[in-house]
Amino acid sequence: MEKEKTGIITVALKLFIICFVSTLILAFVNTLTKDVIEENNKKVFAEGCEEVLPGAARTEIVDISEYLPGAEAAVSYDAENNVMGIAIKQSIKGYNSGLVLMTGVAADGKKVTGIDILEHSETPGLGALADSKDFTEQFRGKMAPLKTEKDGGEIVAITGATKTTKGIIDNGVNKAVEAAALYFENVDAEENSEDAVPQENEAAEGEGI
Amino acid sequence: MKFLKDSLKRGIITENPTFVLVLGMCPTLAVTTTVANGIGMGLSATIVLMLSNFFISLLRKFIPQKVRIAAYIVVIASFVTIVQMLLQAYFPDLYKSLGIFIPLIVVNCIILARAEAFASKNGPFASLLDGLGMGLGFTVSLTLISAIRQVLGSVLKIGFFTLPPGGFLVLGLLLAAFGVLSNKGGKDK
Repeated sequence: MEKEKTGIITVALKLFIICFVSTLILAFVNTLTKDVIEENNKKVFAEGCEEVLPGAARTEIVDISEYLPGAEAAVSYDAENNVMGIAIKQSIKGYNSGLVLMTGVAADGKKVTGIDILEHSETPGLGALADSKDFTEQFRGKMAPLKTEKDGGEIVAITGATKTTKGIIDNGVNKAVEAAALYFENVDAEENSEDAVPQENEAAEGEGI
Repeated sequence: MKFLKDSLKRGIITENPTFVLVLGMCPTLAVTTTVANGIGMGLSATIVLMLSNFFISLLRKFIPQKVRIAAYIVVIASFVTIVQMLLQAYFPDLYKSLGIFIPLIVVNCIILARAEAFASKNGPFASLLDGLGMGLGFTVSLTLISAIRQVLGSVLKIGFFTLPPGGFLVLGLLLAAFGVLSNKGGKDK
């Protein structure tokens, strides 16, 4: 029990050593698992794409952050290289924050082809039921903007989890569809302007000479 | 070997963390909606409990009395984070369904209670076994509660049992049953 008399400096130093060693160990485990976790997230993203836009021959990651900040997206193509639609992954607030939602939107920029919950921290037994086929399947093939049945729409809300349902519809799916519509509009516009661009360049060069 | 048997008996029956010590009720009620979650949570907590008990016991002479709780929390939080990263990397499905409950192991009072009540006074090997016993006791309890709730809630479709009030009810009835059974055992002897 002589240890009781240890001075404040020793106490602080010992606590510091414990924290320091813990930090080293954590950093080590982090470097070990970081790549695997990254790889898993990519796999989850790819599986999510397949879930919300089934039957794609290939997907291509695109940047839609100007339409929906923080979102990740991939455009899916069918075997004939036609655009099938776009899958948008976004982090939204349900009842709790940190709900990661994947929304598939058809190439018309209106029809929801499917949704998938990738991650969530909703209440088990209530909001967590959003991550079930019963709930997500009802979004398939619906035209945006979506509403719950109570508000005159077609989506049956999760019992006891109105906020989760509303969060997914208002903050999630409807926003994703808006962003997808903007993206497709702009892609069409760009494709048209791309045809025009080379001619302009030639003209410009001609003037220079 | 006798040591192992004693630790297991203490953890699972005589000092069962859920039914006798009534510790760690928050995760108990929260994750026991499905058996898979119950077992996953129980085993994750067991691993953390064994590791933290072992290391706290090793460090028991090094950790100053005045700041022991702070030191325990640092050790426990580190192991929880390690378990979380490993689950996320190698068992992503389980990680997805356990969600926010993994970080909550840090504040699971079973772990702090065993660090304070057992590991700080006993040797590393005994503490490791104590962690194993307590962890398995926790796992068995979670499995039992979640099995009852899943059968009633998801199979028989009585949705009430998947909701928190159903959890309280099942827990209460099991606590009562455990109390009756262990009292009886005492009298017979």
